[in-house]
This record gives sequence, structure tokens and C-alpha cells, in this order.
Amino acid sequence: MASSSLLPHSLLPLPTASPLFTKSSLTISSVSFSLNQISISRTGSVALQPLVRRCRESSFGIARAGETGEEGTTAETGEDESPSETGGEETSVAVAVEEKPPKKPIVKLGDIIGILNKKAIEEAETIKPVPDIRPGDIVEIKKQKANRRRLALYKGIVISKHSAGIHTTIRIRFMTSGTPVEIVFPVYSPKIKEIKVVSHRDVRRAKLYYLREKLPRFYTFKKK
Amino acid sequence: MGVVSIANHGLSVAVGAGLLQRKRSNSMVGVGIIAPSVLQMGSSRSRKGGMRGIEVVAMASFEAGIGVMGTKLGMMTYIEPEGKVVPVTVVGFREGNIVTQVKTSATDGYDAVQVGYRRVRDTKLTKPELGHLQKTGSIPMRHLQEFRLQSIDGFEPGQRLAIEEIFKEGDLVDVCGNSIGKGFQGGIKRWNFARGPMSHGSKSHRQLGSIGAGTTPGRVYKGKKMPGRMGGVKTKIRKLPVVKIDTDLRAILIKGALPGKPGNLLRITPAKIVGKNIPKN
Repeated sequence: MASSSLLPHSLLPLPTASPLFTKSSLTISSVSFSLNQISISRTGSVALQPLVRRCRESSFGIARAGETGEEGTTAETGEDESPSETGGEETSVAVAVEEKPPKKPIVKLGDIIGILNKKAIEEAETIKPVPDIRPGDIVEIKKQKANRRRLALYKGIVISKHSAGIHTTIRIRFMTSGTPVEIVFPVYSPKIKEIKVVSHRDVRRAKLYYLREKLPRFYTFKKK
Repeated sequence: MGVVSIANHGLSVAVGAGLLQRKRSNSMVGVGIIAPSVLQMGSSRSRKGGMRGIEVVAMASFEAGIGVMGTKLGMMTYIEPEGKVVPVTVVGFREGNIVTQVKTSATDGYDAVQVGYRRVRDTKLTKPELGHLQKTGSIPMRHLQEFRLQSIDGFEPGQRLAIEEIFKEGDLVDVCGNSIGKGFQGGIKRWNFARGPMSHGSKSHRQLGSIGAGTTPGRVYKGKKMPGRMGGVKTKIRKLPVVKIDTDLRAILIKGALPGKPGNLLRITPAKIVGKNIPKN
């Protein structure tokens, strides 16, 4: 069993007194390799974190593959590397890493939501490019309505922009048939077929809610 | 479907499908031949002095399938291709979800799979805990939870549970977790009581009002809703659809809100739906 070969390190106390490595469960191979690195490079604990994670990730990747053969060979290569590199530079880390199968950088749990949002925005951008919108822009939006073939057209002034990743929304204020209307549009929604910035008004605010108390001519725009 | 024989009272009683029925149990209905002497047992795990047969654990209910443990990461929005906007909770997975023990009726009296989650430093676990994990040579893990199943075929100690194999997009799941603690709260927040008028001479705004009748019964009933500690308890949210599974990031997007704050431990199991997959005997 692949997991049983991980057993020895967790049972035996590590030979050196480095507290850093007792905390992380590394295979024997990677531990010895990294310990030698510590003695040479004398990096601080901060610099060691990526190293530690890389070793852990490598051993984890191996366990995932679940093949003892593969683990055995990498263990040997790890231990072979370390003595030869005792006198080497810090770039020896990269050399030993190339020996192991290419692995992805560890993703911190706290970054996952940010990455998901970024991915979703990239996907939406390829379908429909979204221009840079700021409060004060006068904008034309074409939106697909349900059960309608023709796209609905909205032209108004952006009074606020709420940045929330994939659910970034803009609030458009305009006048239609004598009634002031404010609509919130999710910028990356697939129902929004086109956003075009027609012109811009100089404003000194991020949120233009004061337009609600102003005369309607400030938020009335003629649609061509 | 197994037949378990219980050595008790000197009687061997064969019970259909391996379970006893407790008198007031509303979990599994055990259909089988149950001798009256067995029914009168006060607890399903009674021991007669000197007569120690296999104790059959008849309490607790089964899971609809093996589940996993995860960490609540936060909420975001998922926009479906048709344009529908769905609020989702992102659940991440730390290193874990490894089977640490498989319990069988023969050895433990019930069938269950024990799963560990969240790798920690050796020094953070006690020696008994470490020893338990080293029995199967697994990494030191902080959380251990059992999933009681109908059949434990195909589970071995040391097996890593893959989320992609257990859940698919569109599946319904039940999620358990500790809810956010609200502290000591009054009747309005805790029990949705209505408050009294704020003016017109009213002297009772947020109080409970009456807590019972008069001389008869002359007491307050047990279970009367009153102020007390609210939240911070195990909560289960049922039948939430899995919106997306991201294999690269090892994350699941589940529609809706889940108990607790980001960082909370969650237990995700296939939803138990009446008529569909609630295990019957």
C-alpha cells in the first residue's frame, strides 16, 4: 500500500532537531533532501515554506498515483541528489524538482473563490467583451428578454458600479415615458448582449445617488 | 440483508435484516421475528452479567451513501449558461477524506466507514489518536467521522475518497455543520415571537408575554420556548443541489447557504429523500 510506505516517517522522530520538519509529514526522501538544503542555504522559515510545500506536494502527488514503484524510485533519486548537492547553489532545488513529475502549485483555500471568479470572468469575456465602465458613463445596453426575438435597448447614466467578481453590477438611471427608472444589470450575464459606452460625464463621486433629487434632464437621454 | 444472531438470555433470536426495533424508535423499521423477551430489553445494548454476545446497535439511522468532509470557504455567484444567477457556497477540501477504519457488524455491531479529514502536525494529536491512525498507516488527521452505511463493500482502510466519484453536478446533498453561535438570545430572535407595541402605553416590548395557564396546571410546561443560548449547534441543511465540481481547485459549488462561517467543517452526504434512497431494511 502506498500509504504504508509513508508510515516510517510519522512513527520515528526525525533525526535532526529542526522543529520545522517535525510538524509536516514528509517522506523520508524529501526530508533528508530538504534538511541538507537548510544547512547550506540558511534560508529563513518563510523561504522554506514553498520548499516544504513543494516536497509535500510531490509526495502527495505520488501517493495519489498510488504506485509504490514510482515512490521508491523518487525516494532514491532524492537521496542521491542530496549528497552531491551539499556544495551546490540554491538552484539545486529546482534541479531535484524537475526530476519529479510536473506538479501544480498548491492553491491556498482562501484564494479559491478569487480564482473561481477570475475564471468565470475570463470565460464571460471571451463570449462578450465588457468595456471598462465607471460611474458617470452614459451607456447603451442591449439585453435579451425571454420569449422575445428583438433585443431590449436601455440607454442611461451609470450611477453606481458594484464590483463583486462575476456578479459585478451597474445601476443605470434613465427616464422612460415620463417615469424615472433605475435598473441593475449584472455586467457578465449572458443575457446582456452588448454594453457600449456612448459618452461620459465628469462626476466627482463613485455613487451618483444625488441624481435622484435632481431635475430629470440630468438623467434623460435620447435614444437614436 | 444479513441475519444477526444475538446470544442473550440464552436465546438465539434471528432478526430479519439485521436490526432490532426499539419500542419507540422512528428510525429503521425492522421487519422480522422478534421474541417478546427481546423487546422488553431496556436498551438495545444491554449486557447480562456473564452473557456477552454481540451487541447489535439498533439506534441511529443510515446514510444514503458515503459522504465526505469539507471546509466552507465562502459564498459567491454562479451564472448559468442560460443566464440564471445562482447563489452558491464554495466548499474546499483539505488533505484528508481517507478511510481510517471500516466497522463491521461482526466486530463492532454495525456497519460503518470511518473517514478522517484535515492533516495536522503529529504533535497536535494525542498519542491514542495517533496510534489509532497509525494502525492503518494513515497521515495524522484531526477530524474523524463515521458514515453508517447499509453495505460497506468496496471500502478499505487507507482508501482515499474522490469527490468526483461520489458526487456529480446536479446531485442533491445534505450538509451538516455547526451553525453560527448567537449567544444568549431572547424569545423574539430565538423563537420568532412577536413583540409588543412600542407605544400607546405598552410596558412590554420584547418580553415573552404569558408563559402558561392559571391554577390548572399551575406550572410551566417543559419545553416552553424561552430565552437561551442560540446557535452553535449541529445543523443539517437538506436537499441542496451541487451546482459545479471543480477538479483542479478541489472545490464544490453547492447552491444556497451552509451552516457556519468560512473555515467551518462540513459533512456532505448524498441527500436522503423519502421514497427514493432512504435505506430500508
